[in-house]
Amino acid sequence: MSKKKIILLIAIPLVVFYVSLFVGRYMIDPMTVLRILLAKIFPITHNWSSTAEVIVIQIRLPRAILAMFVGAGLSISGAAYQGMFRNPLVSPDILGVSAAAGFGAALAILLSLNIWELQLVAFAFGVLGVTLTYLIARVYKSTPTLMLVLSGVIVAAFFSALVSGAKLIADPESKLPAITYWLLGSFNRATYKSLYIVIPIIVLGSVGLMLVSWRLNVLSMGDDEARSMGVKTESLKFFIIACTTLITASAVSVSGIVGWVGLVIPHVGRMIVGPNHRWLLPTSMALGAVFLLVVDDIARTATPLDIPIGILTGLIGAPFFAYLLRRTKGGWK
Amino acid sequence: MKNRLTRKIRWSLGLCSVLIAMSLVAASCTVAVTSTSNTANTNTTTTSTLTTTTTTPTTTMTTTTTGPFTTPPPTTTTNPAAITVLTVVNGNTSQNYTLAQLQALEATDGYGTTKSGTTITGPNDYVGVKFTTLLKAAGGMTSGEALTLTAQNGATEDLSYSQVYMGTVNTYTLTGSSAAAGQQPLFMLIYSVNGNPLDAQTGPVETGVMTEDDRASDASLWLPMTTQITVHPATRTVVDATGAAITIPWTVNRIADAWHANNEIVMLLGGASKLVATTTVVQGLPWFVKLDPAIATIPAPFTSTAGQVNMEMLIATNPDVLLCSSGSFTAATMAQFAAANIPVVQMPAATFADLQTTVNITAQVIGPQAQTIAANYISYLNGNIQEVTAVTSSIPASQRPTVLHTSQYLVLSTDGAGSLIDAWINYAGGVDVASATVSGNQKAITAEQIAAWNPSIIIVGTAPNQANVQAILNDPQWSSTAAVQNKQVYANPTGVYLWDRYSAEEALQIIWAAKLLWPSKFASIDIVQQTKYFYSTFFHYQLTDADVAAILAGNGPPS
Repeated sequence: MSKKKIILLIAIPLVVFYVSLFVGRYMIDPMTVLRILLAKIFPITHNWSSTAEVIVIQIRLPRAILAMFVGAGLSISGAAYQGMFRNPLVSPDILGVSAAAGFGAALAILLSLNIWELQLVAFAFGVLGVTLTYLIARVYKSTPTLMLVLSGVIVAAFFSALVSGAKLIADPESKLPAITYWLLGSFNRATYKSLYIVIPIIVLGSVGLMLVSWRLNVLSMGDDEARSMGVKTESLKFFIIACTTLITASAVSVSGIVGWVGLVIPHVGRMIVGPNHRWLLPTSMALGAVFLLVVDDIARTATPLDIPIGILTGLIGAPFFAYLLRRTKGGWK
Repeated sequence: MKNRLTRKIRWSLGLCSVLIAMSLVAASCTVAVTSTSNTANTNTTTTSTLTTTTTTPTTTMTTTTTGPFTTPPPTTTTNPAAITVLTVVNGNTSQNYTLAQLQALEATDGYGTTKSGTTITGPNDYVGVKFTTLLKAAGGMTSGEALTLTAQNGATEDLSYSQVYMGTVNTYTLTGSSAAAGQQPLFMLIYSVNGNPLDAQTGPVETGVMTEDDRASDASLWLPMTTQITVHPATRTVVDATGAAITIPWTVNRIADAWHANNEIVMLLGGASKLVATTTVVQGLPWFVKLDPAIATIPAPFTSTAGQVNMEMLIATNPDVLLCSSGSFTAATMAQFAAANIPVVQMPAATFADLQTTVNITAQVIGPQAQTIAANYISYLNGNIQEVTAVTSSIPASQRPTVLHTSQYLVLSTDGAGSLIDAWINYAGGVDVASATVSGNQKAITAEQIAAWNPSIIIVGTAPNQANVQAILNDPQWSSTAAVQNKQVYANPTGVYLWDRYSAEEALQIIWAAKLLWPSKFASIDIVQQTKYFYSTFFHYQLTDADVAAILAGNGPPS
């Protein structure tokens, strides 16, 4: 990987992040935005409205940060899973984490819990869902790929059914829209409080995945090959699943179900840096962060309404994936 | 590393199992409610046939105590022969009978046995006049007509042409099992039992069904103290929101209501006891259940998911009519209703004019007494609108407070132009901040948009309203709005239904909002008194001060 690519992968997210703070429905001139940001570090006279400050500091900033971390987290999870399962169609929710977290959130909405408790419950259910998948898939002290995938389908189907049940009994004036909206994903409720929890977990999980990136390369050649090269495949798989689950569950718990990012972004990463996970993982993170941030900028500025992010990622992600399929003619490096 | 992870997972498992236990408890509660609702429905069914209902417009009520020639009021001991005991009404003609006149008609002798639940009474030997004989004397009855019987105590009973002329009623053996009758069951107006006159609890005349001496009929078909038989068309039509004339039974006794808010309007119009099928949402409204506990026990074939229906559950409730908001159901579902012979009356929901239309259509479906209540309600509603707009209409837009109505905290959403919410904000003398850019109900908006609108008053309209108000006051994202800075964030009242949308309590919402936005201009409005007045007038329920406080705060009934 060339130095130029490395610099770009660090520079582009920072630039997009910076630009995002200037975009919004409320017109604030760029100099004011800059002054509001700098005032947090340097003593600058406040000559702007409190509305402008709240919008930049309390609304745009946490939202942009959250979108980037969720995008990065989902993408690295997707890349890791695609390697582990040796399958390009795998996304981070293959083991049922999104469906389970979705039910947790729906349950929290039904019980009228506050946003903070909702995130906790969603996270707990996400982890629970994957734990169930792992326990179902575990036979004779090993977890064959096929068993994992099938168990994931089972658990996801089960929790999806529970979500439908929750929607059936939810109050249509209040709780039903909340559940529906949450399932489509949004960064509307991004606050610093949620960032304090989500960022450490995503960082921890990502560092964990990076540490085993070379072993992931070996694992992506197959369980038997990896074992013959001295890799303890079972503990490695467990470790990867644990890291990915922590990342995805925390991402889903704050932003709802954001589809397509974890599936599509690793492919783009592979086109840029190739299949070596040492480079693929950080590249996917950078790309995912940029992608989701741009999509969220569209979601919050295109109309006065807050467009659910899941709609936009699907609208943009699906055609893009079709294009990639055509271009690679179904082959996968 | 692995150990730490395992511990982490164990910790999560512990938390999850608590949550699962919570959800299981919630689920089992739902099951319990459902199972009771089935059994309780049977009771509701039985009583609803006997409840006080309206009579036809042609009715001239005549009873044993108030006859046309009863001055001074006679008693059965002084002049029994002169008292009218029965009136038969057919169109514009009506015929009065004294007991002697009835006895002069062709008499029939027969056996009658009643079955009520598992209790069999009889057989007894009855003498009386066949319905067909009485009807023949009143000009006859066609297959397109039906009968309504009225009793001295206000009870009513509806009979179809085929019941009277073909005896299509259920019959049972004397042990209570279903069995066809050998001879056609016969509706008869009874004046003598086992050779004696009827007692004061059943007579002077009673409607009964004659069967063979080893057959019984349903006790609900028998009407003690019958005073009037009215012949009328079997059906009538109601023009609904689609402009279609919907044919419904002349007397509507069994209403299925798929529209959550309309269940309240049925209650307002005195038809709550006629509801036989409702929605799960209505059953979850604490004040509704408090005022009408029966609502929680009837079947709920409709859920929160619009357009969805449990067709078998609905058909099992045997509704006379189904009420819903316009376009609630797909053409395919409507075809299923038609196949099940369930007439569907659709009503509009979008504006205050629609609210009045809905109240009027619902009243037409329920009956004449409901139409009187509807007129009273609409004049109360319009009175409140006029009282408020007389003051607010002169307030220029520049002086009006900017109002954001949000229906929940979890998802930022608001109602824009064209919504009922927009309408009452305007009546109350405010400006709906969303109306310029957003139209329609419950649109998701961004936190940035709210900050940009900078509303001076925020009204939160969904449970838990108070918790949502606190959450907004403490949320840094809302902190720049004038409403939060000046602590002008309020919970919307919630009563039998939400005050802010679709409900009959919109009438109270208007004055509540006016007083909230312009306390000085509406100092004379006492919202507590108005709420008590509304509930006692329209729901026949006396609210305590604690009740009103809970409603105004958007909370359920105080325990």
